[in-house]
Amino acid sequence: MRATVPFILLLASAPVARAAETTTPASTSVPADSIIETLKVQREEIKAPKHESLRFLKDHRVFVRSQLDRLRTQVTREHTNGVQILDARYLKLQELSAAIAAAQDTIGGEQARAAQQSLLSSVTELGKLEASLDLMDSLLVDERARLLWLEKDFVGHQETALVIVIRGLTGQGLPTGIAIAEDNEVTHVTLSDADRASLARGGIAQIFHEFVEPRTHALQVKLEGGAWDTRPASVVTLDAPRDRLTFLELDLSSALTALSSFNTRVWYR
Amino acid sequence: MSTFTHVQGLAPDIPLGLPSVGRNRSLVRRHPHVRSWLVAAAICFTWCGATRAGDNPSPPFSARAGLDAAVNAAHAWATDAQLVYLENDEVVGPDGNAGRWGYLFYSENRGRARGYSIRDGKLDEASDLDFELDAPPVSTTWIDSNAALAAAEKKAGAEYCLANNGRLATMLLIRGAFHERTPDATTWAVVYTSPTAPALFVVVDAAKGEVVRMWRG
Repeated sequence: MRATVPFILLLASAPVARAAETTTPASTSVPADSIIETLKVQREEIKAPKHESLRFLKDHRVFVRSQLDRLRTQVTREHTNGVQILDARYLKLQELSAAIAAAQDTIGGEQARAAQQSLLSSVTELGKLEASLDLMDSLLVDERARLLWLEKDFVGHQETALVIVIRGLTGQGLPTGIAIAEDNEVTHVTLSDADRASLARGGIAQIFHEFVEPRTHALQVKLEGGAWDTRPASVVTLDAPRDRLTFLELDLSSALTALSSFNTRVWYR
Repeated sequence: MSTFTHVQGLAPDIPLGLPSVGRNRSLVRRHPHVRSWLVAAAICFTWCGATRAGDNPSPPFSARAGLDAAVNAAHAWATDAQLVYLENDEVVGPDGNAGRWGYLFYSENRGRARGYSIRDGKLDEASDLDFELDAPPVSTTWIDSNAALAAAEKKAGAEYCLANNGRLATMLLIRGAFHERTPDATTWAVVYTSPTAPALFVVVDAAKGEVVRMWRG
């Protein structure tokens, strides 16, 4: 009996459907603003489970959740592929920063000399002044070249990230790895034999390149392996500006001394 | 005074809800085997209904034995799904096996938890958890329900049941919730109940198989 009802409805609706199909071309000419849209609210059907499952959890959800709320999780990442290939541009940026600082000093000095010489009126003195102006021009050309290089490098690379490079451990007993911790996240970087050999020859290794939040970061850096396990972690604080790449260089040579902190250098892109 | 006459050889009318066909035209009367077929069909129908309702006991298995089926189903739902909780869905026997186990997975990408009930190596039920549960994933190595129950029974469970007419009510595996001192540990919680005494909770370290905590409540 129940099965016959949809069947009858189906039969009854068939002519209507056919009529709708035949009138479709006419309806396309109806203006869009004449369409009446209606909204009907219906209650969602809750499908009862066939068999009850996880009954204890559901019955004691408040207790279980209260126990879980008291936990905090710490995520540990293992970088098993060792250090990464260092992008040469990162070091180039450091060189550019130094060149800019030197050029600024030179321009400052020349400006001071020009101010003094402006009072001189002899032709000889004017010749010297012209030479100084030529020097400043050449510095400006260099500056323009650096800016062009930076502009080219910046296109499409607006991101807040942190790159950590290490150097300065050349002796025996190199660590097997480095742990970098902040808040509840720890990143372990394992140094391969090739990495350690590179460091021993005075090389630089990139150990970290991740997106970070644009804020002040306090990183706990700990060398691992052998005697290094007994050395306490060193805290390195740095600011990571928004949409910029922050570089942190850790000079680990101070780890061999009694100093509890590392010598660091920070630069930005 | 009224009289009753008993007529032998004729079956009483069977109320089949069909239009009356008359005494001599009834199918049952014309074909005596029809009644046997109807009885057999009724028994078959009843048996099928009982099977579908879950009254038929399925072969019990340990919690880990059903894990693969649950993981397969969960990974079809979300590739990053991780097991965060499991619990017996049917009564656990003295050997630590149950006819059905429930496995709860959490997907970080979907931000939801979904439970899978496994029976006889197959997925019996799957449903989203209708409340939030921020549970860490259980460790990959955990002792099976057999060993966990044995440890709990030996420590206090058997004695509790004997003294209080108690029974094993629930076995559940979770990380962090029941181990006060070492919240990173994944633990089995074995819960005994009794009509005359408060429930007994026995927490077993799922890595070492040792009872680490007990309480009544």
